[in-house]
Amino acid sequence: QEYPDDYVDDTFLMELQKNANVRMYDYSTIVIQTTVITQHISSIMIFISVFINLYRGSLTGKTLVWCSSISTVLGFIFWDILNTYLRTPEQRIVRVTLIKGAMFFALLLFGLSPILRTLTDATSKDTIWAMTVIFFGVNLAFHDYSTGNLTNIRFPGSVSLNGAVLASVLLASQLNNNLSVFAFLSFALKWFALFPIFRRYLKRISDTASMATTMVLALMATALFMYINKAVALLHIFSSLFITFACPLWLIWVQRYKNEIHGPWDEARPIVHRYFH
Amino acid sequence: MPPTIVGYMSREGEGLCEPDARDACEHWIDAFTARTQIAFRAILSMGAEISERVIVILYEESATEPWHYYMASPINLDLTALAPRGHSNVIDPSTRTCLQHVLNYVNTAGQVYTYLQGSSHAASKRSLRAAVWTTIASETNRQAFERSQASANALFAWACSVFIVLSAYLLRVLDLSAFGFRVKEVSAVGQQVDLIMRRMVYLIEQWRASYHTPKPAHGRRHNAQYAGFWNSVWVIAVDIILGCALGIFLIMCSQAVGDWIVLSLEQYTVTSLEDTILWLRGWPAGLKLNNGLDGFLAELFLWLIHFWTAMFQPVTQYMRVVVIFAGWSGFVGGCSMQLAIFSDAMALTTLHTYWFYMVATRIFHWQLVTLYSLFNLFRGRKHNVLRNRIDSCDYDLDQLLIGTILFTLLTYLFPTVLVYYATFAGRRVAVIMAQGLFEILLGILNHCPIFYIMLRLRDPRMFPGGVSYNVSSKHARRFIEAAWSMPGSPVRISRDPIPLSARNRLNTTIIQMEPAPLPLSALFFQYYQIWVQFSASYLSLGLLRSLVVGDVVRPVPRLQHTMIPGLSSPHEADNAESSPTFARDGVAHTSPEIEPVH
Repeated sequence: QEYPDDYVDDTFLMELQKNANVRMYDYSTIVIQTTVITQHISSIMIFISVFINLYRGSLTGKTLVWCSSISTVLGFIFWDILNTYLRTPEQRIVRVTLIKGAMFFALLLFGLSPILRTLTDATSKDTIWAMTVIFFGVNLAFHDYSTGNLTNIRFPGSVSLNGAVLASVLLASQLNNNLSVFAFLSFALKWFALFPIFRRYLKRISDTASMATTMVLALMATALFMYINKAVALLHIFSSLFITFACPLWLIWVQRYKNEIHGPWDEARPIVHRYFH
Repeated sequence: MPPTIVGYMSREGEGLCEPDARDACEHWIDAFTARTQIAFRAILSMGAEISERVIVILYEESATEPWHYYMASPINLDLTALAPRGHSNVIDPSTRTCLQHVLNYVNTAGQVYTYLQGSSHAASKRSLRAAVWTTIASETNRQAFERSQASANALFAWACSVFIVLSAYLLRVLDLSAFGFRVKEVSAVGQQVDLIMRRMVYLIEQWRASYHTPKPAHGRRHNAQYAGFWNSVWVIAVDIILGCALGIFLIMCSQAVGDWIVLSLEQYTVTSLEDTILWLRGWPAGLKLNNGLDGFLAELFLWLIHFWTAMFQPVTQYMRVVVIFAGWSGFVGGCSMQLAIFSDAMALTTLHTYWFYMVATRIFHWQLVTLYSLFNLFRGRKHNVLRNRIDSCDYDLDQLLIGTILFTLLTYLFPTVLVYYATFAGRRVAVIMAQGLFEILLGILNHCPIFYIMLRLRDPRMFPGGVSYNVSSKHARRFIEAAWSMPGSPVRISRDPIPLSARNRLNTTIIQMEPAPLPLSALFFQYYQIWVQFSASYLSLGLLRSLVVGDVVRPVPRLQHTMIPGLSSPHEADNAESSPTFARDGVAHTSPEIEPVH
């Protein structure tokens, strides 16, 4: 043959494309999108502070029940209005079914609260705090931060809900009367299942409202924790600022190392036409 | 194939046989014998002398003991394995081999010899008998004696038929299923009675068959049947002897034995159970159980034990009666009946363990199933009943929430239920193992191969187990000497008129074929079957799996069924081929009421 053994042709890797599909991120967009995470962290902090107040006795179960019920009703009205605008007639869920489900659920919870109260009598407090931290970590990690699913909870999202409910059951078993347990658990379910839906709707509608919610939540968390433990409050502030402002910078700075290679050797992607009504 | 002449053996001084007889046959063997030596002169095939090596196989045979026969593969003592579907005892897989084919001829050679001898042998025996009769009694006495014997035989035969009919009914009663289980599967006593009935029927049928028809001298099943029949008789005898001994002991010390039984029952079944439950009540072995559920379950089971004790109390006064009954039953049914009664008594007195186990198993199993299904809920999956697999599924929000709460609840209650389940399952398994032990003891007693061993030790050739070949026995040497010392003319035979051709000397190898007796371990085939069944059901992985998953561990169905040949157990009776009578032996009548069991 006329070629040497280590011959490399000029047309080698001519069709290589580097970083063909990479979008360069814009700082402000990322910051706005990061607010979702901050919202969630703040909500967890608020929840923990509610528990601590309930545990210490500065918050009564009755107050909590009334507050959470009123805010749920308000949120339900809001969601109802949005439903008529955002969804087509076939996709709307009937109001009566929802109310019936909610009633049934409340009754069930009320019936189960005595059992749940004495569920972890035998476990020592240290175990409970440790397990709570783990479960909230699971909740944080697996939470569905996208805005795609409005009321459906798919697989990874259900794990986060499961972790949150497990943690709240653990915490609820530390309380000492049935009404507190019921109030706390119903609040927990509303906070971790219904509130994220509200946040997703809000994000879909307008970004400024979402930003405003983030600020409100962060301030509330800080304020509530000031009375409990100042160090934690400061830590919360700093971590929120770090996540919101510093991490996007970091991400953009790291983007320069991105090195994607495309070429005709990639797997073919079939083009599927989706027909929307 | 009819017998044909294939050769001629000439004595010293005789000549060869006629050439036309020789030429008419395909194969011809010329042999001669002189005093103690035998040699082959020529072997012709199709008229031409063959020059290949000839292998001569010698065997011993006795006309007086026709039950010593040769078999190529070891005889199968298990009569149920060769239970015929139909009439034949000739169709045997062993006849298909070439060696067995040849050995069949060997075995029938004795009959040919007797036939050729004529009836002089048999006639001599008959005349001896006649002589005995005339010396002992007069003619009329003999006739009367024979007549009375015949009538006694007829009466006995009639009694046997009645017994068989009754036993068929009793077997059918025992086979009845009540409340979903058969009497003889649940109770050891029922099974023992069933076994005794079947055995009696089998013995009577065998005896009648052998009485009415002459048995073939060397059928392949004959030895096994003979040994099986007498082994049954011996086993029954030993059983009854042991039963009488134990029965006498029980009757004499009935009070003491009854008291001891009551005491140990109370200690092992009631007191220790109560102590265990009380131990479980307060954090057993440091395990932290849920107080509410723990307390509830402990109270429940303690109340149930109290209830059981109250119910069972009056029965303990009659324990002495039970012991006496067991003692008397030993005289009738033997030691195995006593063991069966003890096994049943043990099962009855541990009935509360069985109930507790069922309750605990149900709760545990339900909890496991629910946990599994809820676990699938979180993975976003669901069991698709149509396709019997796990598919992904989108759940609604409220389903998810309720599922989460229930999952938490069940997870926290799980260790408590697990601990209670483990306790009761352990006790139940212990009881089942004890019952298994009784089963093994019963099996050992019921199927002891006493007679087989005795027969094998006394007369090893009774159970042929193949053949072995020996090159250097003394008979072979006789042949070899003669063959080697034949350089064209026979040695020491001087008056042989026909000279042999000098060129060929037959190339012979002489081998002695000896029957190899059955190894002793083959006599324990029934024990081996029992062991296989036992280990398959008691020591299997399935038991472990059902313990872990929460399936109910069922006591094993009885092991003793399949030993009696010709009688089908109800599980096989769907084929409906074996009836309690052996019609193939030509027994005169088959009672129309006797039909296949179940």
